[in-house]
Amino acid sequence: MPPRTLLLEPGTTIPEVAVAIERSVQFLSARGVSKQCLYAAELALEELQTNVLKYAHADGVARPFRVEVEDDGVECVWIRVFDEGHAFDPWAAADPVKGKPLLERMPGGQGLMLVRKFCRSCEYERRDGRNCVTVEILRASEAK
Amino acid sequence: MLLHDLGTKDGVSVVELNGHMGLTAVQEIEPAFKSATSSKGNNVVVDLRGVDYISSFGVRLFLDVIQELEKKGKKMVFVAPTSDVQKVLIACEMDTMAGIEADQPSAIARLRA
Repeated sequence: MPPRTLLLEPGTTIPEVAVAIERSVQFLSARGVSKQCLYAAELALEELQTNVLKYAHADGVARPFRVEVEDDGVECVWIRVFDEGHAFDPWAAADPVKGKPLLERMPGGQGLMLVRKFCRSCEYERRDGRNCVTVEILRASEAK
Repeated sequence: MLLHDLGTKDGVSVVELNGHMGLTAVQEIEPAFKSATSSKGNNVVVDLRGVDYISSFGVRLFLDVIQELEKKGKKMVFVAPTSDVQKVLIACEMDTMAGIEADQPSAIARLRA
């Protein structure tokens, strides 16, 4: 079995983020996590990294960021995304309002809502001048 | 990600999607998907049996097309999403904006009713 933690420093473009997602999914797949866990992990990796590109780099400065994927081999997988952008807690935003008329619906905010839905817990902390976003996913099946 | 434009059946445009509907795939198929769906002015069936993954980027594309169809008085129905894909669609309320049916004939019948 591969080591329990994968560390990645994706570039700041969409194709580089896509490569990081693919490598993370291959890593978790090789460690034997469930199909549902892989789905949730890929969703979280995609939504969290693109969120960093959108908000941490909103001032036009491309700052490097780091991704950690950890599997305890028993119960949980953790995905942590560290970035050096401005303090930004993605979980502070409310989910999109439900039940709006079709033509008034806006796509924003759905990605993080989905991560909340597929992951057991979602946390944020500002540490040493960096944002750290962590999600926890059950290895065996989805949480909700 | 593969898109098959199956043309028109009983006046309904039918499109089949296969593969992984993630960030980069959605960017790749967006023009062809819009051309096969909202551009034609028909009701639309989107067969999702072969889609094993969708994120908010795919949902965004569907929302965009459903809103375009709505402006033309047309609707979309999805066919047979896998359980995880269906969970995403329902979480994003896509089931209230477009129908979900078990197979293509049922989806076409629903749009012709």
